[in-house]
Amino acid sequence: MCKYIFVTGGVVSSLGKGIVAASLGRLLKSRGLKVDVLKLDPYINVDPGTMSPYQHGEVFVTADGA
Amino acid sequence: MDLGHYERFINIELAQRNNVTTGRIYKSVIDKERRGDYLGATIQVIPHVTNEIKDDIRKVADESGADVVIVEIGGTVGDIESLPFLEAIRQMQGEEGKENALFMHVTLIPYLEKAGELKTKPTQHSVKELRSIGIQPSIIVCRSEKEIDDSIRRKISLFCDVEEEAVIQNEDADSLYAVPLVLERENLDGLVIKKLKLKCQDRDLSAWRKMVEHIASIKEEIDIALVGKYVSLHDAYLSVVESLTHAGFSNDVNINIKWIDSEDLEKNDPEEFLAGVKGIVVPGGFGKRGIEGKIVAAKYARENNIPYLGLCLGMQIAVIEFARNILGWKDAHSSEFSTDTNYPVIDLMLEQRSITDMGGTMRLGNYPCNLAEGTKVAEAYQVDSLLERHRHRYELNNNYRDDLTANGMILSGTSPDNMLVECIELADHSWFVGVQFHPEFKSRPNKPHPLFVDFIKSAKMY
Repeated sequence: MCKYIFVTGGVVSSLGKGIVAASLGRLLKSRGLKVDVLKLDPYINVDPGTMSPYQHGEVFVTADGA
Repeated sequence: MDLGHYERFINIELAQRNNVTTGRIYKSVIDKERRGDYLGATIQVIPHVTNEIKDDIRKVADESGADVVIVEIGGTVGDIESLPFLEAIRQMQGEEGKENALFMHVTLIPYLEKAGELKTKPTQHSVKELRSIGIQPSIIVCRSEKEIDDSIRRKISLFCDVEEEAVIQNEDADSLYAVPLVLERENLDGLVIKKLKLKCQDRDLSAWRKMVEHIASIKEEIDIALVGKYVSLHDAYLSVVESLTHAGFSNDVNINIKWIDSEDLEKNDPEEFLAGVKGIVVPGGFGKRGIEGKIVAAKYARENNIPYLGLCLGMQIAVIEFARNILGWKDAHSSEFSTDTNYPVIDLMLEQRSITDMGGTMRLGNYPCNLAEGTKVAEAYQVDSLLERHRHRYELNNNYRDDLTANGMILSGTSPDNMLVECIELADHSWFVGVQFHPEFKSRPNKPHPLFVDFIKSAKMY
């Protein structure tokens, strides 16, 4: 059965929440666990493709074109 | 952009399902309503939107077959925008049980220089905010520039109702890649395993630790110019910078990025900005502003034999520069930026001509490319065919292939049907390569991308 870790951020943005979450992923993987991730983005754009890199940083491209 | 960190840290390949926006949730809910899937019900945030969110979360778990899914909620607690997501995860913990779903809250403990004190009040407030919507975090990760002592830990533990051992310090690290080691020292993973009753092996971080030690031991530094339009926001080029950095690790050099606003090269002598750099990168971009400056950068690299790496638009820039200054077609351009040029050496792809919507209609994601034998790209990759990620509408205009190749440009990579030029390079140059794709998304700190490794190798020798 799959377990869930929900990561929230407080006080200010740019805290490195994603890096903490990714680092935890690396630590769990180093224990032989299979880890997957989901980023929930609270904006109305259907995907980040049409957003300016000025506000959110680069537009990351996944292998299947997300 | 955080997807990049996940791919780089965990070394996984993510897909569309790993990133969900409010817009996608609402689009799906509205589509269902229009189809009549809800059978006339009144559609509301709770339960319809929250159910859609929970379905998407569970879909990742089901499709990946993962033991653990880490779900990051973007934004900051207290934002109106993230409320439906927070409500959905609150419900999920109730449905899945506390042993199967935990909340981890990442906050800041600011240090007040004048008072010489670390302040916990902002953290208390943000946890209070979370609790008011029914979420009690069981782990709090505190970012701070100073070490958090036991009294601070006790205070956070008391006010936020978490165990003392669950107050985790994330002290600023020298390298991004040292953060897993910082959190290892705090036993964050051990805590998660205990709380979620996960069965697993002992931790083996030896390879990662070796990598971080190697990074810390590098002394030599070289300057690489990154010429772009968004240079005031470094995050806009995060994966490019990380790929250069990774390639530096394997070449035993630290990379100092010289951020150059392409518009500065239009008004000034490029020598002022580019003299002394060991390599020039022109990354991807859109829009006409700053294009001429990027062409100046490509020309400077070509004429001075400085290693050049053009990514996506950076490849197109190299082709335009070559057409203008080697073929002598003074007004050569991309039809993206000039509709009346006599030499549209870069043109809209055939399949793009009938598309009018801007969202999600580019040539996106993985496509294969064949490499020509004996070229720099083939030498770098050590393969004759590859798969790289794309994001573009424009492409080298096939009508000009012969003119370009007759004058010293090598078309070193093409799509398997030979319809699209994917890589170009220059014959009489130390290392001048342009690629239509985005190799920067595939580099990992412990598995640097071969193209970047070869570029930095040449830059180091320049």
